Amino acid sequence: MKATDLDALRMHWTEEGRRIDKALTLDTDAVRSALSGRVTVAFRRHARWLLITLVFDMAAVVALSAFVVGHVGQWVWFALGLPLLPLPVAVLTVDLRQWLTLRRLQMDGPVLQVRATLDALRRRRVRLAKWVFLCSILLWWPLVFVAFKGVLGVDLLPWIHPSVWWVNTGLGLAFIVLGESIARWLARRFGHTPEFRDFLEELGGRSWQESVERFEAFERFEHAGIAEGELDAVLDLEVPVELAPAVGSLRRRLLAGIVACAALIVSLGLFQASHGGEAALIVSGALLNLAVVAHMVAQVIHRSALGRKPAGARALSDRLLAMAAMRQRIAAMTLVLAPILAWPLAMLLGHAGFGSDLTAVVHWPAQLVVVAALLGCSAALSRRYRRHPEGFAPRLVELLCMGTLSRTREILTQLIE
Amino acid sequence: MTLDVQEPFLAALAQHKGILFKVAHAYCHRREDRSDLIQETIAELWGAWPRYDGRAKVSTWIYRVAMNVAISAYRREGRRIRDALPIDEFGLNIAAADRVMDSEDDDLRSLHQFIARLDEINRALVLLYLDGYNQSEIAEMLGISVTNVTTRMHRTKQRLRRDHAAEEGK
Repeated sequence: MKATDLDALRMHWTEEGRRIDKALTLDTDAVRSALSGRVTVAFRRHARWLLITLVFDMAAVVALSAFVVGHVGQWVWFALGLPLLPLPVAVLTVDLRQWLTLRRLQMDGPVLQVRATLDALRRRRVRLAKWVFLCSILLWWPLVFVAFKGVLGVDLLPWIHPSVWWVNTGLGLAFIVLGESIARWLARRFGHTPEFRDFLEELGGRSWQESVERFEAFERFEHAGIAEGELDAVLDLEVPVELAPAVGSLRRRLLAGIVACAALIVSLGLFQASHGGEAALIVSGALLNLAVVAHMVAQVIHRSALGRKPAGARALSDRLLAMAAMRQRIAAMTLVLAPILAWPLAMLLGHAGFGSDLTAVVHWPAQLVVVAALLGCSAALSRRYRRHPEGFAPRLVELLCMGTLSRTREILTQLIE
Repeated sequence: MTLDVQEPFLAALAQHKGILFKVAHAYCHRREDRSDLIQETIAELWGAWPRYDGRAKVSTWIYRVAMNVAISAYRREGRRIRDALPIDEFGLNIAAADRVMDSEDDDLRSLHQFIARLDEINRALVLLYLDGYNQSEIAEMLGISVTNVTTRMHRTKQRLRRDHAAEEGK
């Protein structure tokens, strides 16, 4: 660049602006027909959608409050219901504030003011999603028990050994501390990237079904005036016809994977419930459960990404790229952790298959040596993965993804072609 | 769209269409994203038109809306704007403007590259400055103090010189 002074470049800039103005042509008739009536309709639809969400939120708060109040004298049920209450209250508060804020939002306001408003909404939604995620392990047992008791009147308490509660509570609290630290590290390391922001929004949108709907509603608001009315017909909303069978097959396979994971989780849960008081088995089961849950969540997100609208070629390829990367990462991480998970797996299989307790059969010095060796294997695998993330055990990765990764990539190739 | 409202809007749009292109060019690298962003901006402008009270210049108002929409789109660039029509169907042929940009001299090309390296707020600030807005106008449009604008402009000019020196040193 010869000129290094902005003032000197202003003249060039103005001259270029004139040339651009001269070159650009605007067909006012086309603009007129494209804009007709869309903004007001979009706003009405958005407001209606948010109102429905708010009604659901309120119903959840009222139902849970009624449950807690109705069990004031029964301390166990009261103690189970009360920690759940802040969650729907927080969701309701965030939705209500979003609804009120979006109603008042004007795009012709000062730039930083509009940015600050939208960023505040986004931050609140991400923070809420993060806490739902962090509390999920701690609260899912109480949620299941309260739901069975409140909706069906079934008391599951006698089925579960008290130690299951303590282990679950301990793991849940540990997960909050660990998850918070990881979240802070991720925010420091990747917080400025659009991909990380997208990831957080996806996380918020997927970890709780209501979040999906709320996020989509927000997206529709952000695109108000574009996707509405008669224009929907010509928008890129449907899966390209030639890809529909492949996408359908992938969705079915993912569903089979989700069902398989759910069956594993239930089996592990039943095993844990029937071995109350045996901490080593419960901790082993919980560790394996976490790995299975990670895969199930990934498959749910993957499947949901295939079903979302718009589903046209461009939107679909964007989403599939992100899904393939995520599935590959999770499968590779599972393989890296496989040696560590082998020990709890051996304990469970030994107990379930042969009725033998490995902690009793193998003396503790030998156990320490085995655990140290397994940790060493995991560290070596981790190093290898860091060096060659793309070429890391492709067949095993594919196996862990139950063949869905290659199918996803095939669809991507077809989309690109 | 009623006739008495639409005509002044379309006239304003036709007169200042260059702003839409320049803002889109500053915030989107890909041509198709620029087209999508321009559509989204026009839709937002139309939505905000009933609130335009004529106190600010139309160009200032268009700039403000365009930058708000562009920064929103920039922050979710990975997600992209997905629901857009081909821009030609929306009434604006930007291919010709693209050709103007393609034929620009080295100084302007380097300036555009420099702008692309700035964060989204400083990018808005430089665009407005180059288009002749003074510091108090920029401060009002961005919602920051005049002192802040002065400081940011000073740092941006210094950075331009530094970048230039670094390029020369290569």
